[in-house]
Amino acid sequence: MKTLLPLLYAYIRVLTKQQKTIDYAQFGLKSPWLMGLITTFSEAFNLCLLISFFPLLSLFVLIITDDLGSNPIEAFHLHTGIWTLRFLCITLFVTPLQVMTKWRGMAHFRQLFGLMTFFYGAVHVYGYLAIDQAWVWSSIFRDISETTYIWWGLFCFIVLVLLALTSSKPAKKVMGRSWKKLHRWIYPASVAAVLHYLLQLKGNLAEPILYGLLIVFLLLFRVLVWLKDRKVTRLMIPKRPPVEEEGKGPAEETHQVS
Amino acid sequence: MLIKTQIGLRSSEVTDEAVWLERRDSLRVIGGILAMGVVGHSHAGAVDQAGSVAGQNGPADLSERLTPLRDVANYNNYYEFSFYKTPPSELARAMQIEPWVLEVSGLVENPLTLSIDDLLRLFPPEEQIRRLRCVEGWSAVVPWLGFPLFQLLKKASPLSFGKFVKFTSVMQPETMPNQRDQKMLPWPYVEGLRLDEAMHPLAMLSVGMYGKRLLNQNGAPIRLVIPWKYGFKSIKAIVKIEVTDKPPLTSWNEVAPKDYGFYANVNPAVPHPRWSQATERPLGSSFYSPRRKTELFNGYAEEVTHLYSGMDLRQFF
Repeated sequence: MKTLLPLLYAYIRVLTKQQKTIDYAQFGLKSPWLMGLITTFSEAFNLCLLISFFPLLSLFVLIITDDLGSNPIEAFHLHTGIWTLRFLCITLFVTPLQVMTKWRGMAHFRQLFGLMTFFYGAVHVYGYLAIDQAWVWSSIFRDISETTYIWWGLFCFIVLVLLALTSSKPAKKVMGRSWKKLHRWIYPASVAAVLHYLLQLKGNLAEPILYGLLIVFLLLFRVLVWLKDRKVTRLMIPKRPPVEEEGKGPAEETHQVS
Repeated sequence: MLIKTQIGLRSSEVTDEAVWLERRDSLRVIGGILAMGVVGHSHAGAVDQAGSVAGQNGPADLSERLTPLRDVANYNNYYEFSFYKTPPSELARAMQIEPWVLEVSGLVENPLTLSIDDLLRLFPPEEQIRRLRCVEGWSAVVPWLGFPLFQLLKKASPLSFGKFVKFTSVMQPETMPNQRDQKMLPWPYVEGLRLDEAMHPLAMLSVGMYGKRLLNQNGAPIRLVIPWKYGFKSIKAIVKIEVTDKPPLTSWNEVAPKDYGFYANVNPAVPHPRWSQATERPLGSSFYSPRRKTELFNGYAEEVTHLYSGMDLRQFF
């Protein structure tokens, strides 16, 4: 405990970039393996990557300990579905956070969380096809054709696949302007994800409504930025506004919002 | 563990503890607690005997597929308590089920007011293994203890212009959070059947399951079991049964008439507006077991189809 707390403190300082490295010898740590591990996860990005796999780990634990309840497959769908939605919200939060804090270079975090959204979505879809429906295609086709809430989920997943396929830096370069256009499909996809959740319930709507509100706020942020952007350009183009025009500073920044 | 708290001994039959403990783990408990002694065999015996009880519905197959009590007791749609499946097993402990009075009234010659003891004396319960199919797409196979509803109705003797039966569930806002907060459904919960449906031998009033008294979360002290209809028709904790001349406005039908019809017969060919009813997931099934194909009238087509002859089941869903 005596070493752990200062270590944790040093660790947080490294994470928040107030300190470059941790002097492990100070804490009596000599194992190069452990030091390497700690150094790796001192990077905020690596830490996020690690934490992103916790929901998957907890799912495995629940499966192994047979703790998913009386309807384990439904519990599996709920777990993976809700984590997909949560990662979607986190992904959508990166850009507002970047704009509000003026921190630069968070695109790789957005990419990370976006890919995790796709990953949990893929586990969710795999659970439906392989575990629930056991790859019986006739049953799957009938189920999807009669179950309207799956349509919204399917739409969302198709978008997630396309965005995951084009998420790499080279793809971004090759696609140019159309990359941004394509990746804006995450907005309707996030609304579809909430509808997918909402429409399958009989009346206990509290949770999907909560996620729905969160998504609305995150999208509203984009709308506000877009409106502000438009207002600024309109002011700028017709009559060349004076330099002290207040919207000008953030205008350049917010232009990159996607 | 759950069961222990539920088998409350009633004052009318003081039993000494040693006897009670001995009874607790055997099916004989029904004989003792229900004070009837009708079903005095072991559980295995009950399953064998189900052949004569469940009749045409492949009883051997059904008894093999019995859902574990653990799952039936911990996965409940009891919206008076919670909109989630697991909380009712905890919350329902607070429910007051003693004393309980069941009123049979409306268009009947002999209105009745009966305690649970009266009911048990008049209508000795028997074990009936029945399929249960929820409108949400999960299912179970439950060994109920009960008696046919027609026995009670005959005793009250419906008048000739009685055409429907209305069932009303208990109003107990002091123990039921969603009644207290007036959430979602108009309380108390109301269900209904056509009189001829109610007179069908498969329509059952249940007072127990798995050889014991009903658990509160499963509808204690008395509930309806209509195995060929979606589970929400099988109303729990009944306090009133009325014979009426008009179809009663049932709770789910009132709130969402397009989603939940008055008939609510299990039918794989008629999907819910938002989901398929073609297959079902049995409770307690493992990761490796496939979904089951849902059967017309939940597998009781042979017995009940005649009730709906000439009716378009898509229109009267």
